[in-house]
Amino acid sequence: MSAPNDPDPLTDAALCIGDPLARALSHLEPMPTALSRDQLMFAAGAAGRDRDVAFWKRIVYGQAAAACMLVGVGLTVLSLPENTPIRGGENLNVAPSTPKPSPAIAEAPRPAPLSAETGDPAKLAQYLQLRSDVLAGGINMLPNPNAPGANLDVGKLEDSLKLPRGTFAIYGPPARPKPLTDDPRDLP
Amino acid sequence: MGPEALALLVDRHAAALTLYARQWCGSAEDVVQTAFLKLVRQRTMPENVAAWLFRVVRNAAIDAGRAARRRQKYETQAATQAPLWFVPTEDPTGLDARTAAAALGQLPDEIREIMVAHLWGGLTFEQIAAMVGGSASTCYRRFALGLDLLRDKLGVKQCPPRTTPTR
Repeated sequence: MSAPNDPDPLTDAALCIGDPLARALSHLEPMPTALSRDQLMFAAGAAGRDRDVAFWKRIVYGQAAAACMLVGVGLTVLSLPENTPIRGGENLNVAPSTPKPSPAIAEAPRPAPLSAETGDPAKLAQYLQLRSDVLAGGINMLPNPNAPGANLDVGKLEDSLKLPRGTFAIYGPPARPKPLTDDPRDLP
Repeated sequence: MGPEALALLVDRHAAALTLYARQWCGSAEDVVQTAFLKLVRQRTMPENVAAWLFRVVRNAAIDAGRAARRRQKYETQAATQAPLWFVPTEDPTGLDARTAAAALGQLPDEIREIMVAHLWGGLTFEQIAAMVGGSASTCYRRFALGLDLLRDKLGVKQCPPRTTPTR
């Protein structure tokens, strides 16, 4: 807030024009600057060029980043249906979106779909074992009910060939002792 | 901004800007050049280029002056003579440039910068107020006080009381 007696600075030209000291001061000419005009113009041109270059750099970097992101997203989308592993039994109920069965896979008997609702741990363990075998050894590990030896009884075979029992036995690690249970029949 | 416009600005304001920057620092030319380069880098031109230049020069000169004072704490201060502020006048009736510069240099900073910006920079008191803070009336009062102080220092007679301002 200005005092009421203050002259209006916007209209008071008398201070600079009428005051002899102000007029004399304003007639003093500042020393010419030692600024090199040519050097300044050159630097200004370089600065303007740098500004344009920086602008186009930002454009190019932005477009490159957008293209990389699009390519990444596209690759991810394309690779997801084939490479998504089936974890446990949680995705077993989800039908494949675009089934592309190969002839071998189509003819091979698929194990019965196992859902978490069955609640049978033995079946689940059997399924998981079969699944790991198929993943490790391929589709040949799937059981084929039409195979000649699928239902072969080794004992009958040995009897028919009049061989002693245990001829075709496969030696493996000793059987593990049964875990102790509360069943009184298991007690010695 | 084209080169012609920049050259015009340099021719018109460079000397006053250098004088203005000398209130705070010794490297006034560098400060002024930096301000012009900053102006060139602006995507949109300021509304009042002269006021913008004075504001940028003021801030940069204050920073440069602080940095120079910090350096001088650890360096031997060279006994260099300060550059002349004004071109020596040949007119014996006019003010002596050295005397006027010396008297101007003894003014307080907040008064001197207003006088330099108004008398040699051509800025209005409103523009100066926007630059240094405060109101235009405050700047006007400081300007009038500076004139009185200079009048005492230079031994100039008091001017007659101002009449109604006329434009």
